[in-house]
Amino acid sequence: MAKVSVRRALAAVVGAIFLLPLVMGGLASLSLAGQAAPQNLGALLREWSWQNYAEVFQMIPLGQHLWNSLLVVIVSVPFSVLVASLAAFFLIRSNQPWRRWLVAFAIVTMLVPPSAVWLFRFQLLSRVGLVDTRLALMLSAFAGGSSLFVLIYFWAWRQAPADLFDAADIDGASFLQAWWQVALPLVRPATAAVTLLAFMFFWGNFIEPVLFIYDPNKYTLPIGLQLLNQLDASNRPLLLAGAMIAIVPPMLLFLITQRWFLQGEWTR
Amino acid sequence: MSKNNSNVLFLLPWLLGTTLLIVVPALSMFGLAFWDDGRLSAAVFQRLLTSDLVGISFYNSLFFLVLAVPVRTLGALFLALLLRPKTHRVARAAVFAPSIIPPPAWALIGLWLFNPLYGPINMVLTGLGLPGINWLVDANATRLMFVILAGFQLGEGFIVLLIGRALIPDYLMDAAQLDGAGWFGRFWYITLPLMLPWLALLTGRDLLVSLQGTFTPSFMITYGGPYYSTTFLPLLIYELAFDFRDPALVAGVLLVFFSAVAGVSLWLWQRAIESG
Amino acid sequence: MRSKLQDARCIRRLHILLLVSLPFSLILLGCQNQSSTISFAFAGDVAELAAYQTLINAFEQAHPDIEIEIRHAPSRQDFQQKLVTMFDANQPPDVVLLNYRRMARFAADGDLQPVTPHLSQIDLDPDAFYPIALQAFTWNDELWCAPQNISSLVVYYNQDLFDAAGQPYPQPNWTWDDFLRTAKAITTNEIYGAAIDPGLYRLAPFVWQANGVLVDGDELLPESAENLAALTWFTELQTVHNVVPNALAAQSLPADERFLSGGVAMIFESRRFTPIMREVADFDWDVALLPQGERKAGILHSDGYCLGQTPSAETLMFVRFALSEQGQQILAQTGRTVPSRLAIAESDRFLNDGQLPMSSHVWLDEVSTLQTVPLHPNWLQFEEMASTEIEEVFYGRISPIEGLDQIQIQSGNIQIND
Repeated sequence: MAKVSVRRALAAVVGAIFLLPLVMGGLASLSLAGQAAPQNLGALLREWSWQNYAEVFQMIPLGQHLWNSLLVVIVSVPFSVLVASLAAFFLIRSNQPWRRWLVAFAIVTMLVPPSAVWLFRFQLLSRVGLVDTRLALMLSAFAGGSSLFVLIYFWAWRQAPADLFDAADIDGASFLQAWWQVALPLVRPATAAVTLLAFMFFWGNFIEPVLFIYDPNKYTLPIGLQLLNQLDASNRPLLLAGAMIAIVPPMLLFLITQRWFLQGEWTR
Repeated sequence: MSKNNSNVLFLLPWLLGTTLLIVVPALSMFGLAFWDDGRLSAAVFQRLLTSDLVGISFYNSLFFLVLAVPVRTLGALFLALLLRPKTHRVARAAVFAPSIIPPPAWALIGLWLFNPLYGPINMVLTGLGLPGINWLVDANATRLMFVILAGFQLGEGFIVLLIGRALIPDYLMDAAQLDGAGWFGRFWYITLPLMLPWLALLTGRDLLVSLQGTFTPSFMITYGGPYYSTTFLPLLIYELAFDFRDPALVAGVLLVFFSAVAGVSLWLWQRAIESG
Repeated sequence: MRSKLQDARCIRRLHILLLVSLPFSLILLGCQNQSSTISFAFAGDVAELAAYQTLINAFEQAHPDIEIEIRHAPSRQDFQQKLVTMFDANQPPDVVLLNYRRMARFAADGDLQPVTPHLSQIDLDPDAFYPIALQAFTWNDELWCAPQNISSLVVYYNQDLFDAAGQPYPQPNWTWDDFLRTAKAITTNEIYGAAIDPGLYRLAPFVWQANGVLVDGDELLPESAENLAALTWFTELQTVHNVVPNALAAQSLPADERFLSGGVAMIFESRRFTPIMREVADFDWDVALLPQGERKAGILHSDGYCLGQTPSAETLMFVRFALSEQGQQILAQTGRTVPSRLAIAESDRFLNDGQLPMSSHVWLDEVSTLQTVPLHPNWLQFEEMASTEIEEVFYGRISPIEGLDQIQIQSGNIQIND
């Protein structure tokens, strides 16, 4: 009994530590902007107001940035899930000898550091006239987002009993029918995880808009935060308000999806 | 089994897209390392050895990886084992939460948290009568700040290890308990060996992910300073490519770096697959 | 359970989606358009973006058939990278606003077109502009960019803090000693006399004032007695006299922000700092000439309109508009620039525009003493390296001699005299 409560206390402490930066950042974003830097923690928490959240929208066109970011994820996340899961389903169902080479291909391409492709991806984009378009930011979604997503689905289906798919075959279901009716419902946790990971990737994507976008009307939220940082870095409450705004959408998605991949059958 | 060869169509977007967006650019980049004025040459590697900046950057990156990767993987292991009982729903979500924060937002929060005079961390330290730490001023303290920032974002590894732990059959644990093994015995003789492949997997991937993760904070907060101490490889590559316009040197750096990481990762994975 | 029919419909839709996703590179081939738009690239914060937007709006109003496409980067660093990528990808901007220190790199790489052949089309009469500004953009006997402004480093000072300490405001002929005495008198536990961003660009005018040089033959910041004297004076403000924030304080609150929040009495900045001062500072402030050493010297901060490709008639019309009295006046009104055109700079529209600082004439007074850094393709690389070492010296981690040594050693990697 004592052991259980020690573990519970430890879990509570650990949870609190991990939440601390968020909670403190959130509180600080509510303190009054434009004052001299506070000298102690008490001063930090003295006066609260939502004013910073209104002001940050006036200071930079954050509404526009939010909209651009939303546009990118609305297209990118579904495409990532779609392309990655179909590719993985093909890999699972295929009995071709080159299948293992494709798995190796996925692992190796996952290992390529993003900084290795910056220069030539830019060349490629400019050759097809995609520089300074929102599409440039969505492009990797049409390739499944990341080979990691393919591998997640591949692994998830490997855990599933193969005879389920064979039964679907016998029923005469097409590839797509088997994928949609049998396979996808089996791996909800994988879909939840890939959705969240893809959302986080496209939402937090910093380097690609830095490299590929120069029309201020197409700036996404990460560039908005960079603008804010450059404008008035001493105005910490304002910067934190900007950061909190950027955190809300992925946090909501996390709260919705976490029950599948974080609390679900995978982690029993 | 696949009745219809047209199914290969469903593989193509990923295969072609990845080839176009990753394989071709990466191979072109690596090719650049050996290409000098239309001739095959290894001159870049000579410059690589003599450049101070490249040397410092490799040192910084190694410093970071040696600390950050164990902190992140072992931290994730500890948390996964601690929060394994499924009643710890809230704590699990809390541990994952920092990983949700987009990198630029996390960098701004970090800039505030670690401010050497006005940030909450040093305020707490000095409030407790301890000396404040010279974040952003002292080279090692600043690199440590990057390790801590990375350490909070271990959600991915946490989940992977939760899954890995869930796959260990209960009867093994029950049998060990019957044999009289304590919690440490069970951990050492059962949990750890069975989790090793997962840890290897994570370590290999983290060599890449955690280092790449330094880019946004080093770009937004420190821009490589103080005195080059946070010029990690991703920032170095950015500077060489765009400030100094030296793509050949970029290619050389990447080739060395990628070979090292890929080598270590593949070795670890090989081990993982053999023992799993 | 959903019906089979629904599933089938879903699947059909997915087929369509996939068909769209496959040839994704083809979809946008048709998206390139070549209308009569001019691209204009520049860097700057939100206030500067707004200033240039005003200029662009005025131009578009006068020329409804021409559209200006903004290519913007939030900071100077991002801007360098964006320009490099634009030029490398063969998508050069028509007009780039560049600092003269950054110009030579792009000129040497063949990315810029000189403006010399187009002087009459852009109505650039050399007599109407400050000679030093034209000289700053002249490299290899060509004028590469049309100077937009003639800003320079001056002292911004907080009059409230001067008054509180009972110190007289800076006089036109004040010296290094006067500066130090004033700073000492104002410095308290919470207030600093001055704040300095240590770097070559801040140090340079003091090097010149001590009769030193930045480049001698192929030597960078040579270890002369003059250079050492300048670096030592500059450094001791921090290490010996403590009138400037130390490394810890500077990292906690950058110099400009400390000044804006009223924690410091003096700061070295250019005209670029004026818009944000007008917006944020809630104390009385003004500007003054740099203190002088052995002699007077100031450093030019000037941006110019450069041509990223062979200019069209429309491009030249835009540059002409920006350089015209009207264009210069629009930008002067935003507080951002010291006009490079004499007629506007010396008019009330710059000198007496009814806003702070009262002493805008300081910038014009300083013109006769202005010097420029050498133009060289590798200049920025050198400047970055030297600034990093100067920062080490400034915060007392190495001595001035060691700093100059380090600069000598490391500049071996950077060719400056080719």
